[in-house]
Amino acid sequence: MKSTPYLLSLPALLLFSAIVVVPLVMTVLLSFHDWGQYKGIEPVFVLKNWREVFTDSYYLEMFGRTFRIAVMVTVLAALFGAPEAYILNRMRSPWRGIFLLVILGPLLISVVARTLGWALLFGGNSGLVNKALISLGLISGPLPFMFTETGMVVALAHVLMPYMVLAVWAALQRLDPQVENAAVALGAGQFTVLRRIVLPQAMPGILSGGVIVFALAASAFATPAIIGGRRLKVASTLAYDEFLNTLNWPLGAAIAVLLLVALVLIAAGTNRLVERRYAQVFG
Amino acid sequence: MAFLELENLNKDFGAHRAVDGLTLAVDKGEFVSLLGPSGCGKTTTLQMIAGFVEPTGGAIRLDGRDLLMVKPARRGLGIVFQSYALFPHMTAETLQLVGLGAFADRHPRQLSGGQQQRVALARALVIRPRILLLDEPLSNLDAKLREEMQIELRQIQRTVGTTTILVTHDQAEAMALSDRIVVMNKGRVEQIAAPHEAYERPATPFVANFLGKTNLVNGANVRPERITFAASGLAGTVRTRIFQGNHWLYQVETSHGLVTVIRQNSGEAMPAEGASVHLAWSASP
Repeated sequence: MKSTPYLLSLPALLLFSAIVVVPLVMTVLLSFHDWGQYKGIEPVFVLKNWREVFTDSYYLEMFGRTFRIAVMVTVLAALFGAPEAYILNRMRSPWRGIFLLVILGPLLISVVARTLGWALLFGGNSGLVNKALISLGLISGPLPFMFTETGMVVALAHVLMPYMVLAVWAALQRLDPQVENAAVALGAGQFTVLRRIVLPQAMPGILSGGVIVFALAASAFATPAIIGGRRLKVASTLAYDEFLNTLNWPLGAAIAVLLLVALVLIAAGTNRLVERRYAQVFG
Repeated sequence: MAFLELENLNKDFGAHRAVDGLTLAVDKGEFVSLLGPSGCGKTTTLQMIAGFVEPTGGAIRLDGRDLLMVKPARRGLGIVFQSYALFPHMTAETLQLVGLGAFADRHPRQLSGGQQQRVALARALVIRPRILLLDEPLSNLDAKLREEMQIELRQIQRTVGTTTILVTHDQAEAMALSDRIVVMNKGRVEQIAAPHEAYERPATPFVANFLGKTNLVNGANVRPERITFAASGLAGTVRTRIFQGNHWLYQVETSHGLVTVIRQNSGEAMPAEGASVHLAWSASP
């Protein structure tokens, strides 16, 4: 029977469509409904919300900020995460296990506790980092952390770093341990080995880790909500505000759907680039 | 003075002595094999010459200069690794010598095992190394390809004239390729000699056993192919007889225990299993 495989996977497909596809379709439909201060949601088909999202510079600014923060978080995660993975890969047990735990640590701590920790480090004149920098004479006044993009980037890079480390580490584990020796024997210095032998082979890991970090940073909610509050909004906190404060659900839905579509396009695009570029080399 | 000199070389890994007092002098252009079972210290020795492992004691001199003071990247040695260790993101160049000129724009994954092996060799030779170090270079190839590559390797080495050190656990490979072999066991040198010399006159029972089948009769080593069936001599009964194409392999029960005999297949009738025979041989020259 040809239909048997489909019948067998039917329960899973039903569950999947019930919890993912249906709500998603409803959200997309919702984004085309009308909304008024006094009439509430009207189930009609209008393009009003989409026009507003695309034409109002307020929303452009929010999405621009979201994109900027996500890019900076990704770059930071790659700059610190890739060397971390390389060092981790060269460690011996038990150190490797211990440091893996240290690196995965941020994932195990509540996002609220972690973000407040960062806020305490920087917060105002009494923050440890600010105090240290001021007493060293490096800065004259405290660096602002709360309600700044810098604060969001630092806190997000910290929590998303493990994803980058794990992705790069996976790529490095496929590296032939003799390859570095081979390069050294041909006369390459330590820096040349890293740049021309290790880095190109770690690149697929850095790119796939980058996609994960970018997507998670762009859609992060808790960290931007705590650090930015309602003063410095990003796409996800903006959608939240429309749903729960303004109660304009259709507009909130349009923002959420746009964020989702943009992320899917960026992730899929990067993935195709990686596959086309590296398939024949690493396979 | 020899080109490459290893003098009383030692390497300890913790309490374990991997290489114990190794002394070896290699002449310019010579092909020398380090032969032994796994864990005998042959690869560690190669890695010390390459500079990837630091000796615990002893000296390595190349052309009279202390090689241990030179960084690995500056030693100018060509190395072929067991895994080839090709750079998967690069393409192959400089391949005329090994007969792969048409494959210059391929990535390693697009090459067969034998081709990858040749690329690894070309990469080692392209820097015109003072010494070529080969770490089990043929062990990942199948038997037929390995034989072809042995012949090719020997020809290339003769053409280029590079002093070569081969690490292998395959005694046939070592004997086929080398001017001299260094038989190692548990970190120590058992014998350094030309292949036929070591085969005919093994310095220790270990060397005799490692280089091929051997019989211990009255405290003397006798190679199975040296024993003939004769009218008189050591009496025995044929226990098993195995046909192997170009030769017959016999196990003969005698008063000195089981004796292995190898006879060339010349088309003549040979003793059957259960037959009573007499074994004769002349003492090693």
